[in-house]
Amino acid sequence: MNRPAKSVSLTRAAASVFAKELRVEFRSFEILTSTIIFALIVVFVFSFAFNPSAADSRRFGAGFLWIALLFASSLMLQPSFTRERTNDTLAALVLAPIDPFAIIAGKLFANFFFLVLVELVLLPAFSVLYNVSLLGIIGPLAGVMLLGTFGIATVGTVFAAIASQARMRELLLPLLLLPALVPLLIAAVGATMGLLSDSHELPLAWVAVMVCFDIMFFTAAWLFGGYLLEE
Amino acid sequence: MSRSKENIFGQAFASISVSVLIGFAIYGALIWAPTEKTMGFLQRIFYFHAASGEVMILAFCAAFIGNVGYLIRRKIEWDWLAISSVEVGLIFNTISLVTGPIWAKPAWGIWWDWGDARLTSTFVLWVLYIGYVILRRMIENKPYLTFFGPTKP
Repeated sequence: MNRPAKSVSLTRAAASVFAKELRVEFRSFEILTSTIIFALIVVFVFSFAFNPSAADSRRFGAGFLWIALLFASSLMLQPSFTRERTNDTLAALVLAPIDPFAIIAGKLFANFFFLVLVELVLLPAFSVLYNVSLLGIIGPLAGVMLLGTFGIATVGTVFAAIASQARMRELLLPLLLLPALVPLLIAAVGATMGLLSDSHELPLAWVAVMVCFDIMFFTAAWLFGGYLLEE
Repeated sequence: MSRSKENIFGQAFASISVSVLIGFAIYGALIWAPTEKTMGFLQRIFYFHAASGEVMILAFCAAFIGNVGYLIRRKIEWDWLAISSVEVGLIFNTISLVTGPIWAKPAWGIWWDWGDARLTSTFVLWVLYIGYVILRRMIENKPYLTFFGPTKP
């Protein structure tokens, strides 16, 4: 990787990629609307398929919520790289005299931001449909959701970059992403389940697993992100 | 690739000796080894199950070395080591995942136990490497993404 001297700092470059992602998305709202609708549909379908009582919801609700989010994100993350293909704009981004990780990081934080917006719609709908009161636990729940979402966005952006080079990329991304996210899913469901239970207790061990997962994969993305965009 | 005479002899030698060794191994596992006291005949599946698990671990370690070597050295030979080890490891991973439940049904009374950490993590490992192999087949022939090397050498 012989690159010329960086003229812009990593943070500033990542911030401008982030701003560019947001600008592109807010012109059309294509990804956000379809992802929100998809996540809501998954939550609806689960409630039709299982017809859960309030007690069932407290036990299985955490799982439904995270599966809806995982499926939605495996749909949503792909366009962040594939829509660069139309005009081959990714090549232009790679040519810019910035650290290649800035491109990954900008897209990563943009995807994180979009997923948080999806959750802002998904959580109230979940609370109403599954008859689970979230008001008393909103603080710790937000923490768990943010940690889990950051993990999804990190791994998802990296795999979206990999899959965008392949045929059948829309099929490939869930195939790569979901098994890699299994540890995060287990921890996130464990933590959320503890919050939804009658004692409303936050299992700190699961939170620690999520923090470790996020740190590990973000560091890996930082170290190897440059290779992903190499030509 | 043109196939030289030595190559054919080498391949014939390899296939014959491997077949003989497999024959020995099956004889040793099914007939020669004494029947175990508590588990009985069922225990003999371990000669296949445990051994494939060990080969799987070895192959995936070789794949790790190959992948890291490719990132550092950028020589296509390292990448060949990685993908061929993954394919070998995947076969033995499948064998251990199939023989595991065959043993578990009489021993535990169920085919599959999601609470068993090793079983579950081996299954996740299998799915991850299936994804790796499929990805390798589907990468478009572009110079991008040398992280995973070109599809065909």
